[in-house]
Amino acid sequence: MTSQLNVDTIKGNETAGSITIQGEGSKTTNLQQGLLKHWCRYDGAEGTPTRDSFNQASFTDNGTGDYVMAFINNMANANHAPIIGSGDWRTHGMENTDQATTANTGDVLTRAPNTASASDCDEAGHAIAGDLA
Amino acid sequence: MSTIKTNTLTGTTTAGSISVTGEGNSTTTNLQQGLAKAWFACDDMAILDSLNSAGLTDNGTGDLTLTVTNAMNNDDYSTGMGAGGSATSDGSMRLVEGADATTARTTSAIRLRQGYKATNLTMYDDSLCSIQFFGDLA
Repeated sequence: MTSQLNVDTIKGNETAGSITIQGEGSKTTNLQQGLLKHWCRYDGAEGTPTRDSFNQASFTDNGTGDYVMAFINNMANANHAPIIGSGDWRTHGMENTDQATTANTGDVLTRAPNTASASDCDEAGHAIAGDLA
Repeated sequence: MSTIKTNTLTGTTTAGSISVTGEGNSTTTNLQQGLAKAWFACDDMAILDSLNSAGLTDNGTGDLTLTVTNAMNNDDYSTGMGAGGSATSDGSMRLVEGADATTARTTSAIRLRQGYKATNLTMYDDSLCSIQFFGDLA
């Protein structure tokens, strides 16, 4: 029998920020820990780079290929786990370097793989897992 | 506005499957399938923070194995990676799967190499690296 719960907010009962959820098999995982806390799709070659995002207060272009994304709700610390992807038809792909991330920001440098020089890219994404403050 | 407080969420028809209405208010997605089942934030061959971690094995310079506590259902899980933040200046840090042609991932462990330079990866320890696992838990 299918049941439906209509709700706007979910909190842990004993610990507000911790809910156990049944996984696909027999094991459980943690709901909050499994959620991405930030993502951004951007085009570094554009004047307004951000195409779409979640939990992002601002996007700063610090120079060629050097981008800093500030969060609305900050992370608990700088030890979050970013994944980064990018490409550019002009250079047959791009390389990414995760730079000096902080609890408040994600920091990415993109380079052309053929020269290893910093380069703006027009297809890029960034997503963070970790603990919210 | 309503708030639910609970310690555990379990599907009623299928324990490991809960539907959530998406942002467009018309289609649904699966709550469990959308969760990262493991993630690691590492620096210089040490785990800084993690979910579902059983540990990091240092196999040598730039060569590491990450192991999870609760295994994935199969080895077809999806991974996303990021690397960087090192002191090296002659190329982007890279994080790639596999130490050689015979090293295959398992449901509970993945072997990675990190290094720099555009060609002929130079193995290197002192670097930020991160990975996220998406797929079915066992």
